[in-house]
Amino acid sequence: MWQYEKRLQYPVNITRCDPDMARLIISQFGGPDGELSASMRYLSQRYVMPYKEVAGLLTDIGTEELGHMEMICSIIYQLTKDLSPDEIKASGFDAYYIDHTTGLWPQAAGGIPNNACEYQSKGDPITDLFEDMAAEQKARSTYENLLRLIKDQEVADPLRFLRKREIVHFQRFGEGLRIVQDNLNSKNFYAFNPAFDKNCDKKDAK
Amino acid sequence: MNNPNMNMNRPQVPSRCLLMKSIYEIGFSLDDMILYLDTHPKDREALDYYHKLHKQYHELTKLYTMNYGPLWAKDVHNDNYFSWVNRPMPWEGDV
Repeated sequence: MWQYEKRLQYPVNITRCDPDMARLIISQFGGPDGELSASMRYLSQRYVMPYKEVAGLLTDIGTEELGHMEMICSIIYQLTKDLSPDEIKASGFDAYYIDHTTGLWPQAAGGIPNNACEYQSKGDPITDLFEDMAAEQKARSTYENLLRLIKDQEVADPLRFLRKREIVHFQRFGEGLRIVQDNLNSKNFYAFNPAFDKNCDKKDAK
Repeated sequence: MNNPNMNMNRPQVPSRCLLMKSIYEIGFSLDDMILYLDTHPKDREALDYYHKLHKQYHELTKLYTMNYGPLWAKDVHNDNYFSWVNRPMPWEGDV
């Protein structure tokens, strides 16, 4: 189960509206490499993960990603607060406004709705962990693409924090992959799927 | 808080902003240590550090709840329910 702690993981205090920037940052809410997809990916994968350290890691990173989703939504909320119809019309935010007013809805920067196809969950520990490591790198690239366009330090500061977390998560997933491989037969890691096949761990070998 | 006599025998409570800053800092250290310990569960030094942080975090959040309202629904009681719903929500960006 989860409990809500009434604070963000890292503070977000934005004093200047910028609906154009909000329209781009929203990709890290509902886009292909966004925080919502990250959280759902890890929290879906963990059930069949046979190694307890890695199942714990998927749970804890999946939980942290929920906090990151909250930070991204806070940034978008603060960037679009108190907009006038004229400001909306003048910015590129008008198409989003027609469907959602200034409410939060998970979509990519290009307007594509959040898609469960991005919650890759294959039921194979090696496959899933490589997916997760790639996902963290893709999210890092997205944050870097955003940071190249952002001049406002109040917006850039929390995004820099989130970018750094992608690097830490990549490192931890790499350690998780090492734990999985240490449990398998080093002559052929791919001989079995340890989440499905029986007696495939090194300790089970005759 | 506005009555000067109330604080005479008590140490000064840090401002809401300052206390929340410490909660952010220690809370983040905890978040990072949890992920490290997931993949290094036998690292004794890291475990000791984690417990030290956890104790600090508990003290900070207890002080915060007493003075500025609950951070978790489980800490809501008759005297502070209003502050649970009335305080600015985290996404409003006041701290």
